[in-house]
Amino acid sequence: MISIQNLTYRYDKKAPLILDQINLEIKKGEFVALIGQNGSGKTTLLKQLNGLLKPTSGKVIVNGLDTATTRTSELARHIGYLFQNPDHQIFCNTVYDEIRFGLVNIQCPPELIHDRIKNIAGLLGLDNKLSRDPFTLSRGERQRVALASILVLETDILVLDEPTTGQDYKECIEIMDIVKNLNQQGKTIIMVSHDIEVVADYCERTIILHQGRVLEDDDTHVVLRRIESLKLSGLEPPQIVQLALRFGPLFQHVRSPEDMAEAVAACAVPGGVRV
Amino acid sequence: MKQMLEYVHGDSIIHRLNPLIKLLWAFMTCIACFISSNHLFLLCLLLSTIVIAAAGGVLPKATGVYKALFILGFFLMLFQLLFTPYGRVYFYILPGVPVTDRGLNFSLLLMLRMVAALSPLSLMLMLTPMNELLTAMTHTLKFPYRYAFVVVTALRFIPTFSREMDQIMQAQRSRGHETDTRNPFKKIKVILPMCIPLLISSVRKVETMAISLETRGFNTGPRSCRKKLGFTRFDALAIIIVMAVLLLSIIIG
Amino acid sequence: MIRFNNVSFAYEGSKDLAVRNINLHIGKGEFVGIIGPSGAGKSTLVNLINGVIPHHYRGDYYGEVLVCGKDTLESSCGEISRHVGSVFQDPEAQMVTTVVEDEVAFGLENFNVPAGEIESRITEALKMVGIEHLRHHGTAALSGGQKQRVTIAAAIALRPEILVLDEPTSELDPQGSRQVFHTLKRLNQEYGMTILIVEQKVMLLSEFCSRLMVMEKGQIILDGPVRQVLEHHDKLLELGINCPRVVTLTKLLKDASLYDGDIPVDVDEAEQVIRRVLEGAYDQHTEFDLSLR
Repeated sequence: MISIQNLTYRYDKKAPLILDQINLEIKKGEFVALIGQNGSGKTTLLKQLNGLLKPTSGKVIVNGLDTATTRTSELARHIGYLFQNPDHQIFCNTVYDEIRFGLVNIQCPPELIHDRIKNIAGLLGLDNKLSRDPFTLSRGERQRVALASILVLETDILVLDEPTTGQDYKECIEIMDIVKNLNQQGKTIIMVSHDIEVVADYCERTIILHQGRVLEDDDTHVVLRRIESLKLSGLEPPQIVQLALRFGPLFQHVRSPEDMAEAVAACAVPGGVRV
Repeated sequence: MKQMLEYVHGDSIIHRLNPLIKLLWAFMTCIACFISSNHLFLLCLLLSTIVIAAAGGVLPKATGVYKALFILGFFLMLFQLLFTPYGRVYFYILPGVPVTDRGLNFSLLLMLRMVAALSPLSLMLMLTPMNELLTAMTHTLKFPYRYAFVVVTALRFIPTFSREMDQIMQAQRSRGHETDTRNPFKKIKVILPMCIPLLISSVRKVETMAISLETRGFNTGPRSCRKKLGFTRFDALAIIIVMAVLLLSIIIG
Repeated sequence: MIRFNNVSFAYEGSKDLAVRNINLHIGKGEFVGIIGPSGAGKSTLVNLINGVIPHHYRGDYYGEVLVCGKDTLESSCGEISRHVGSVFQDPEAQMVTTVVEDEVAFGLENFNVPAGEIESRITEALKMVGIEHLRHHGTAALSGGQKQRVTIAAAIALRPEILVLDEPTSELDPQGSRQVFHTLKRLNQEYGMTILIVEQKVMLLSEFCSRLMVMEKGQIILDGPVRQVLEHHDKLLELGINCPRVVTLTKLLKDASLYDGDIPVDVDEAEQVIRRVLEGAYDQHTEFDLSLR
């Protein structure tokens, strides 16, 4: 689905390398987290996927298309990109028009437009808000409008740049649950996030980028235990993992508070292991 | 665009000059360019701005400015060539559009004038911290503080809004919005999805700034001045040189 | 230090009260975290303390807010800012100048502090925040965390007794967020500053604050020492607040009667809880409820 081969990138000839020999394959239906320090190249890598930035050398192939020779507007049919700040996209007078904008751009047949908008609005709980001005909505609701305007393009791949910033936890979970649902229906999701708990709760695979290189690329629960790599990227494992690691191999399969509590109870049975 | 106006941190001899001197230099060079019609003089003025950019350590960043100005100047030159068909014809650029000696002369003059006159203004902003400019305007030129602050802050925000605009453009392009058209009418239609988010974003930032200023005592009374702007012998020398150049432009004509 | 007497406020043009019947007292040297869902009135509360309401935002104002003994309605925003420093979410929009030391000097110049004194005050503020090495740096090239620390230094240069922050780490990465919190802890513990911070990052707040206030729909519904507030785990989840996972874990252990002690606020304390449970259980022969899910 997405194939990144020997990708390097720098703004111009004299600028330092931002991406350095990246090799990655992302298969259909994966839910991948991309984490790392600010300046590690995460957002730059995301922008390579939909052609906003072109490789300095190497190749990025998305659904068989070479991003270097394909326009972003064409790639928008395959890869939906949700930006961190919904207010960077919203400009229409009504939520309806806002969602319609992308469909018009990709030349969706007019007879299909209305139904697609209604469906997506239903999915994101925006049915009764279609005629409202997006700027009268809360930040969380605006994020959903921005998400709707991307999802309506029915792309196979969805890229999310910090989808949870600037929202309260409830709004954040609402969006993430919707995204998880879409993943279970077959969409490939790539997400950049600083929130390690969200990454632990939702993503199966995690890639750590450090100074433009792939530092780690494995199952999330494996990567989140690699303390040295996380530390190098200015990150810490989720609280429960941090706690589990302090007990050595005893809690090595623990991922959530529920897992931990069960494991503790199992050890706490009379005659169990003394720590 | 943003690089043309952003201050470049440094400690060169040019950085240390009094900001008023730099302001004077920018405006006097501009005036001298318009007074003189001598190609060689204008070329020398242009070269002098490049020397000053190098002395200030901003030459790498300034090349963008010069490139932009030359491109603009080149179009101006072509335009002018079309309207100056008199004199000895050298060749025809298009059927019925001659390139003449007077045409070439005049259009080259315009181009040199444009680059030499505008580059100092941009360089001045690269070599002067906003704060010093503000101090110079309020304490020496006696501008009312509030208005000087508005001007300086507007300039300071241009790079910020330029970055916002980049983000907005990328966000809209990711939704399939095509931004590169040559058609000027289409271009207006294309700009709209980007202007509104920029406007909203600007208003928000300005609101935050206004509140932040109020909580830092902005405009509550008389202000003290931390840095007294010095006047060294380099400043005196600079004034003499600038005035000499102006005089030279009048003499040479 | 800060006292609210029956305060309610509705923004101009709005019929709904943004905050209603707020009664609270914050003493000197406290480090208070304010959490709650969006629209709960947290920013309004902060703006009532630093004088932005009523001097910038107009509306219907009821009750009385006293800051360091002065009524905010009767003092100007400038006067209040001598006692209350403010830091907001967007670091870019708070920077007025292009060099760090100029930024810190800005407030001092506004208040006509004599030029001779300004230099030492800048040094003092930068030292308190731990960014002396950034003094001559340009502001544009700083990281988000550094920018916010400069904003904090600029706010405390005026020597306010109170510092209020409205989601200052919202746009920062985890490292930057921690830097800001460490700075605040230092200001609180070494210099006795009273700190009020609105944040969504409950895990960090639990680690650093001494008191938590939970707001919902304009009212303060929970207010007390961090541990005490975190006991109301279910209520917090209901409000959509991201409870620290170690707290969720402890609640599960309590529900299973495996543990009956204080709520841990960070991983270190949680480790002690687990050790006690494991060691304690070893000594007892009780039936444990293993159906924890």
